[in-house]
Amino acid sequence: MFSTFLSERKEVAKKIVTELAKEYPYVSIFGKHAIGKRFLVNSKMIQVGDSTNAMDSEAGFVIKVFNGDHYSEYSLDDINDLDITEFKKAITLSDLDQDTVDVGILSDEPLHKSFIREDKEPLSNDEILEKLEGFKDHLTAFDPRIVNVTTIFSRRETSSMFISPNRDLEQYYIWHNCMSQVIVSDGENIQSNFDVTYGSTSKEAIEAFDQKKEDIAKMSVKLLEAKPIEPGVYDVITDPSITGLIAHEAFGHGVEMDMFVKNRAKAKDFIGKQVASGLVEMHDGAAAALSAASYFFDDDGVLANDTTIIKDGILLDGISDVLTALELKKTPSGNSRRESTRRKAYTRMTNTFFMPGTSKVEDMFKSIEHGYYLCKTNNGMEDPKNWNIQCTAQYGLEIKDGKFTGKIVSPVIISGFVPDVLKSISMVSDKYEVIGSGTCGKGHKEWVYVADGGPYLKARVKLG
Amino acid sequence: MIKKVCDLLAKSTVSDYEVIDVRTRSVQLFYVLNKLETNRYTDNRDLIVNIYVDHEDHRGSSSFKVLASDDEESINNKIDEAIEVAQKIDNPPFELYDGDPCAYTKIGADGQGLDVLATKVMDAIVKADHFDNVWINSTEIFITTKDTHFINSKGIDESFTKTTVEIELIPTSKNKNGEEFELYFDKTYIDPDLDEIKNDIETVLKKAIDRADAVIYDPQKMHPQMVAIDGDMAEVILGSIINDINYMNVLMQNNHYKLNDKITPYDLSITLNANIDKASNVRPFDDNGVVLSSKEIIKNGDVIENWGSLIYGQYLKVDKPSGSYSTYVIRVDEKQRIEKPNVPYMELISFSSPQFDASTGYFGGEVRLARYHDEDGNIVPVTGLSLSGDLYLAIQTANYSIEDVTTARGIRPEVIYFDRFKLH
Repeated sequence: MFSTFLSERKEVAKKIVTELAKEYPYVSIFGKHAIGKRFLVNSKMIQVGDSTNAMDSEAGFVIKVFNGDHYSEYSLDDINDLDITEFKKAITLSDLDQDTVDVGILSDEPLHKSFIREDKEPLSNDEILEKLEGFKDHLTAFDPRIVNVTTIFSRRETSSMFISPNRDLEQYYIWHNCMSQVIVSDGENIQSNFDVTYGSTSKEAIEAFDQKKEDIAKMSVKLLEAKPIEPGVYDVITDPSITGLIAHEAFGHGVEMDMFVKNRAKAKDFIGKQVASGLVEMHDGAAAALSAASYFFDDDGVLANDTTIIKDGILLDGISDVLTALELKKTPSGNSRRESTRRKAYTRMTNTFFMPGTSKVEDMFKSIEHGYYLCKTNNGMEDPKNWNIQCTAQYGLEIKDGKFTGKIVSPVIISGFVPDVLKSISMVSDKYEVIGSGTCGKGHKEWVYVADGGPYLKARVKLG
Repeated sequence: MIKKVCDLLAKSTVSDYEVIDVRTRSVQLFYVLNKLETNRYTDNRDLIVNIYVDHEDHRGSSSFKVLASDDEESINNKIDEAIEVAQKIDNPPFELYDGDPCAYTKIGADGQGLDVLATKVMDAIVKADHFDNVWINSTEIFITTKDTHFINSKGIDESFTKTTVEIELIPTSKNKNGEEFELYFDKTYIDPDLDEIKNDIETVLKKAIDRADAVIYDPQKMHPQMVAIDGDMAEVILGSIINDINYMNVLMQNNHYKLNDKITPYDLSITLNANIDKASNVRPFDDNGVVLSSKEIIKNGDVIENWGSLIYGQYLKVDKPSGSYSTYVIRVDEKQRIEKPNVPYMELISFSSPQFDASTGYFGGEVRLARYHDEDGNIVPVTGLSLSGDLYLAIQTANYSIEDVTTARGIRPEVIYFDRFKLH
């Protein structure tokens, strides 16, 4: 349920907004109360507790004002005893002699709404620990080469509110992940296999893991056979997680429109142009799917959206935070996100994915003469300015003449020029999945939870 | 607040407790091109409580955060819930830190208002931005003071204050065809000299100029026999070896190197050290309050000690666990030090995102900028290449620069030269 703490601070927030609005042309207060809980069970120990990261667990506020010249924010834990004089002093730069960005005043259209998405039958601490113990024992017993198993369950509960002269928004939502790390060793080689499930209810995440655990165990042991891949250009089939990684890295970062304002994204010059195979349709939005980055309004009080980024291979639009949208004279897309109230809001992806097509997955595998089935996101890095991408798959399974040869390679790095990768897409499956378990940084910091995914894709890419 | 929480814990049935209270104040400036878009002031607190409950031959634990939303009643509820959970956790027993506490330490004296320092830092950045066809974009400056206070039930009460200056910016260059290219710069300083900042920015701007002039890697024309790695990538490589022998990895059986294993046939020595000027990761005690000084973990190329948290060390039956260091000093046999390779080599300057797989030793990634040094001493900026190889093999024949460098994580040779990585 929505945070009592934030409810109790709402009237204080309204008073502060009223007071500051006398002096500042724009005022808002964003408040957040988040509780992240983590249960870890492995062969050596059990750990249970709050996540210590402010990204998961915090109570805090951001007061945002426009002074007619530039925007300022004050981040604090509690607004109850705010001293307005101290606030003004804190946000005033005493030695400022610099040019500022010409932006203007953010709009403040009237909006009063309350949202809730809860886990109506949450598993108890004891039930979660019992399930994790069971998974750990099952995986450990599968093969003597499995030398250590860690299973983790995490629950993130978020309440937030946004108060401005004309807006009063509040929301509560929850997300769960269940994950495992399996260490395998044959005495000479060591391999590590990571897998994760997710759900808006605790039961959903746990049950999904239960169904997956057999495959996790088998693949963990199989990884001991993995060799490095011979670098080259190959036909590949991507699983939904790798499809999602490509969506995220290839075009997700490139259409975060704060990069347009900073002249940092090539995509700015390609709106309305063909950038991918005509089979490609790509979306982003907190309202585009129910997943790890689904909220009802963003950290600057804009309602969640579903943005069509690419349709029929043509780049249609980008995503934006409020300041970026103001500078570009666009309607904000509901993508203002902060790592925590201690950090600035930037344009950030939410749930980013390709839409399904019409091909059958089995036909896609059959169509490969020699190539790889690339599985499981490891990580990736974008280059919006020059459209280079690098995505790492945890492993690849060799396919020859439409059949798996049994050979496994790991890890596999996909690299290339974004339009080349996207234009090479020749088949898109009718099955798809948005994987609710990712995190994403901007540069090397500013972490937020994201989801990505899509269908199985057939493409031709450089692997190394 | 920390005292109040300790009082409540002392009245409870916990066997032991630790409380870490970190107050963070910062001034943050955000620029679009070189124009200020937003300034921020932050004043926040993180208060983390670990409780321990002994039952039979076990010690269970649980942790929680005390937030601004908590009052005495809710803190007591959190304590009760944590005790209930910990009573059911059958972890092995261990003792909390009860050695000598750390004297108050101040790292990085600010001596002036955080906002004044922030604008001076921006001035230094602007002064560095004076080259043709290259400029600074998207600067972000974070001047941060953290007050860390640790108390445990063994009577340890210690604190330190650290002020850092973090700069993130995007050097951007243009080639003769009007195409633009970016590199990435992110560095955290302790007590920076403004000239030091200006020099660092000038150096990265010059690299960005090379990025604009870079030609696509052509293995038919370029025949590097070695690669030179410095900066963040060198940090990833050396940090990976150090992390591999952490107690946690040993406990999880996820470590490649075992005690007494030979990492290199030459003298590579690594000492964890908590007293390094200008290393921004430095801290005088860890999250369990363990006072950090120095600890040699690799000597003459051999693993002589594992290292890490007090608790994991005790799980492994280590007599005196080292504590969790975040800074180190790396020394290498003079015979492995070279001015520069006497063969053609590729100097790898900027990776997209270097990947390291500790299980297999795989190290690699896409290289955004390199410089090819040919046999005649000519230097050509290069892009469009990738690196891959087995770090555990490659480190055995590595050479190192004569110069050392101090980074966020400590002191190490500035450049590592490898002859066993593949470029493609």
